[in-house]
Amino acid sequence: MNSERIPRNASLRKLASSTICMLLAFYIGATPDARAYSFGYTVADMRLPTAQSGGTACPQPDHWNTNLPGGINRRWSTSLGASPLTIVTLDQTPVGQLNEVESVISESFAVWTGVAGTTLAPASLAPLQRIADPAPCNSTDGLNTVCLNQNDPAFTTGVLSFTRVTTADFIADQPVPNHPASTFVGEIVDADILINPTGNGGVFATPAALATNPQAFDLESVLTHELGHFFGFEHSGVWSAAMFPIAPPAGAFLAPRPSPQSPDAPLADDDRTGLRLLYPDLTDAVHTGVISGRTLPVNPLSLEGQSGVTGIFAAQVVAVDNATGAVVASVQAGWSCGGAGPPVFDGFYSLQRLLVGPSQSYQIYVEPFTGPEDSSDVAGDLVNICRNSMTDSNWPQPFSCTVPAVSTSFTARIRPPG
Amino acid sequence: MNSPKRWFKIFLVAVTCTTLLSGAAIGTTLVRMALITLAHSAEIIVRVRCIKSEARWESGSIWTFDDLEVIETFKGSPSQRLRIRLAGGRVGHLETKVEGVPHFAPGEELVLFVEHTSAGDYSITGWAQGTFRVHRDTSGEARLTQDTSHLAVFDARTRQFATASIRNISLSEFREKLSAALGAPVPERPEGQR
Repeated sequence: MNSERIPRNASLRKLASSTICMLLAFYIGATPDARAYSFGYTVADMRLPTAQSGGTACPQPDHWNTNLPGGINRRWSTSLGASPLTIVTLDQTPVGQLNEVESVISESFAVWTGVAGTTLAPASLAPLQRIADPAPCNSTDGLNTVCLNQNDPAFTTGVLSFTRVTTADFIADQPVPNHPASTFVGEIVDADILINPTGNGGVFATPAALATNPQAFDLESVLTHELGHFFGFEHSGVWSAAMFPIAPPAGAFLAPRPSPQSPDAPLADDDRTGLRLLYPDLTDAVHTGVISGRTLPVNPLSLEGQSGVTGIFAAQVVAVDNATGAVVASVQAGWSCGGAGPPVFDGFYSLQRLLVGPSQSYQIYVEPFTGPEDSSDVAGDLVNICRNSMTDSNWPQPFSCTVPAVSTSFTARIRPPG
Repeated sequence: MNSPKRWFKIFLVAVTCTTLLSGAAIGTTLVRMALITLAHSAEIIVRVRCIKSEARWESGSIWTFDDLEVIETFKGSPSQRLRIRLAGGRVGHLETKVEGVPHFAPGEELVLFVEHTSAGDYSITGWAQGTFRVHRDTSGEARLTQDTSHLAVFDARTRQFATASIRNISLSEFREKLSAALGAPVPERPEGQR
């Protein structure tokens, strides 16, 4: 969802409107953690002057400035678990092991920079550096690091890996060390990936070593997913997406593997569409389609008692390519924001950056967030889209909002055109 | 335009594939811990009420420290007030986000499985796995749901994923289950597990 309302595309809207309704609530019920693809969001500190806040309380998706001088810095710690061995490589020589691991890290970055139609290009990244420091991931220092063997205090029994992403809620000279002036709200200023298999008996293998170590997790698949968080993603509800919260089982991997011809091969269209939205390339002339609308209750009285809520919150809205049957995009819908904000909960959805062509068409479906997950999980994802006097002292009332309760008891149909 | 039937079939296939998927919850990768494993891994198991949640800088990173008032102790000998450390939070104009870390609001009632961190203070065993939210039903009875009830987590021993989380059980039923878990022999830990 963008910070501004998106004009409806008439032709695509017609296609969407003519789509037959599908009641797919059972689908989400079978999914361990079904959510639409989503981004982290940051709301500007509206207590600051406009020059620093940007002048809007609309949530801004977390992402990097791809024009950083020298590129987004990245490094990795060459400290690896040796006893027990936790990163299995085909080449067991000390030099060969490091080269193999570094190659996996580089390829995993290249998966995301290989998506066409984004400004996140290989040139957006600085060269990958090696550092010997065994614990460089414990600091928000503007140095973005992958650590494969760091016993951070955040790790407790049962936690194998996580990604720490830090954003700024204002435009500042230098929000953290080693990062230049932030130029927009929601700019990621530091991100670290920590993998600590030692404490929990987990083993990771490089793609070259995976076949002979089927008990190991595929390092490339896990890193590709973690890098999705690194670049601003939260989890997707699309089961084929790299950002789906369930990794391939031990011995398996996100298929197909990346190749020079298809560096982004492990990603699904849902991941690619999300990336095009986070890092839009304004010269991209083929991914310009927009399907937007609102999810509304048949009986508006059903929203009574929910102050400021005029549509369904929240719903998963999904676009399916008619030709391939692939899910090309999905969003956590139910709100919109324009001007100075704050967000309003009007049931709005907007599927953007869709491929446009003479024979390109889509169907959409809408489903509630029900099933084994509690609806509060979705609200938890979106809790950052509102700030108010409860979250921040002296927060100006005109920019306040409160995330409403998630509606779960609905089925959806598409209203015919007219 | 394709028929709705076709799409219905496509999603039936998707449902089937999803159901057959097995793997680890990633973003944050968790190793599955059954209640008996959680019970024996945790040093302290308590029912608490969150008093205060505050984020601050420590050793170069943002951490959230939750102050908890102990209502009931199931294991260990905690003091009346317990402070736990969790990764992430917002301080000033910076916010650190870590997927999978539970967040608590003042006044919220919880059952937590707690262990020492490498920094010497306390945190939650298995993050979401060691977090149980307490809510009251219409009769006022306390009921518990594990934070991982929506997540599949990886079992290092079986190499399978599972969703055997605890969801919406009464506090009395939970006490019985926990008591049985604590009374059972210490499970053989997966290789390398602390």
